[in-house]
Amino acid sequence: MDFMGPSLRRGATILCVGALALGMAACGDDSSTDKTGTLVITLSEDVAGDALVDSGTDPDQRYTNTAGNSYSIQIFEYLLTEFSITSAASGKMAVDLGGAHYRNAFNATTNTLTLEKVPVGSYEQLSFYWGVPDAMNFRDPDGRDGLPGEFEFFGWLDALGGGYHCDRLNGAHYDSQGDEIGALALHMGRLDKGDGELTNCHTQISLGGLDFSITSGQETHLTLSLDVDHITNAPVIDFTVPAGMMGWDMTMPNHMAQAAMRDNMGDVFSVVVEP
Amino acid sequence: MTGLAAFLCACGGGDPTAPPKKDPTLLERAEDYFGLSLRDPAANPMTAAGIALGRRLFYDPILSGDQTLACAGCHRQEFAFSDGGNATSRGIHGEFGAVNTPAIVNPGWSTTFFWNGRAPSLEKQALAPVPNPIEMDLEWNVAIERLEMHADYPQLFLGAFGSSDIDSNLVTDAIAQFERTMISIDSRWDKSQRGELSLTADEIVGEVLYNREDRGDCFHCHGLGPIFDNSVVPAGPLVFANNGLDSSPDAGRFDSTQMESDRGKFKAPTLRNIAMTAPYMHDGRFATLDEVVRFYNTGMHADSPNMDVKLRGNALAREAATLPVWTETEISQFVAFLESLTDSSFLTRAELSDPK
Repeated sequence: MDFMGPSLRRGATILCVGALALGMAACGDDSSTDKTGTLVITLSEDVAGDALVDSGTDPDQRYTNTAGNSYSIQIFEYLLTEFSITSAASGKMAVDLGGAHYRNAFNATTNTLTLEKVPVGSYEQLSFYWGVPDAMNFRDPDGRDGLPGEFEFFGWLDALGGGYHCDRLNGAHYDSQGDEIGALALHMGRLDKGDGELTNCHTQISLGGLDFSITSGQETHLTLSLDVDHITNAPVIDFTVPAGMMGWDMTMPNHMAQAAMRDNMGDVFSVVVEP
Repeated sequence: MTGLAAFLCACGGGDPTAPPKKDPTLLERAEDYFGLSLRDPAANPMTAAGIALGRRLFYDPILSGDQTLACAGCHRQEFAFSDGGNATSRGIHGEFGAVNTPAIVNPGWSTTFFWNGRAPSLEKQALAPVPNPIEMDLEWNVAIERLEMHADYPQLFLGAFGSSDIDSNLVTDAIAQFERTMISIDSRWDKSQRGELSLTADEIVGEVLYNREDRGDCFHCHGLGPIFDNSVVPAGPLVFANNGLDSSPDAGRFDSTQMESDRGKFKAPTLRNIAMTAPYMHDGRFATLDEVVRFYNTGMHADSPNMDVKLRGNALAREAATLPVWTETEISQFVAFLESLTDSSFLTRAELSDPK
């Protein structure tokens, strides 16, 4: 669409010529001056190195956590937000994700997030948030939400603090005979600690010691891996510990379980720079 | 200004010297309320002419073999466009289908259609019933011939799409445009969110039961308000679920994906206007909401393969008496909440009714 009238266009042309005369960057669309590339992050999950398999695909798949609980996983989904990369030369810069990335570990259509227009350069750290930071973690009755409406399905109950889940991990856990004890629902979200203060489940993750470059017009690939086992390993979470109506296996209203899982998130992720 | 034009572009009256003040259209209100734009494909943008044509086609039995059955024959407005009272619907030859006719409520935000999700768009969904021998049983080429020979349709298609060269895609494009106007955002629950009224104490308790994991835990599959529909995101694992209806369930989503992990799973529909869409479940086996709640309370089959683990956990826990069963009071409170999701304006809106 032509949005400039004749007089404005002539004025813009004069300005561009003048800029060239001064040795500044040329106006107009010139891809040879594009100083950005694309960062493609592939998400993958495992359980202490074992493949993550949903119980629908393999009803006999079992995992064992640090507490010795045997469990299966039917659903695992989570949100990642606020990606940034850090270089020694220019420090930390945000790369626009356009909101949040929803990942369903059993749906391949969600396993890639593409960050475009990333400034060229050499980088040594990738950072992001597990879950949704405070500034975006709200859903109001008047329709103002921190994330677009399509994320409503990942909303966290208003009665428990509102906003969004950080994750939903559903499965079942079993006794030593292999019989099902009950459902497993390791959901992280906002909670009232009991003193009126709401805690958010979001955790900033920073993965340093990297060496990757963004090249003009090129794609750079990283693989971001999540080890599910680490969610419950230190502090150790035992699914069989009761806690009122819901124990450590149904965590939505269980602040202690929420806090323990959040404490574990620091070493859940690892990243590999792909050649 | 006609209601149709008002849907697309509303203008208020008032002081002629003042800048024109626009009242928000229903679509604008809905998009603002949901925080989500209508999924209006670029290949089929909504226009007044397209919507009007789609409305006419929706109500026209010309699209059936013996010209007795329109889309609206099974999708009836007064029942939120479900087939009120019928477990499954009867086609033109008297045969009953295998599944309950789904309601059509806010379909413009959904990403998957049919109980097994085999259609990713309204356009694709509308292609299926016309030639289906147990539904409308009319081959598309014959349907097109009829439309082309009709006194009005060639001009209507020309006006809507710039072409009187009719094909099945244009027919379903028009129907889809009309269906995207089936917007429902004015139930009692919605009005309570806007502060226009207060829910009753029973309705409030019912909503708590809807959300509590150790009670209904309904929100995980049927969504949170205001959208109340998880299918706005196709990649979510709870768009389709097995709720333990049967120990040996019908194939469900398996028929669409051929994945064993999808056997027995069906789309969890929006619960908006659910009080108007009886009977319930994919096969219409439950006549009332009361029966549905009692099923979830004590009737789920925990041995159903691929059953949602949380529903199964609750079922097992109730069997073992480690989780309390719902009381009669809770059941009625929960039904009261579901009834608060009824939008009577949607059921009677003139712009959605038979145009003739």
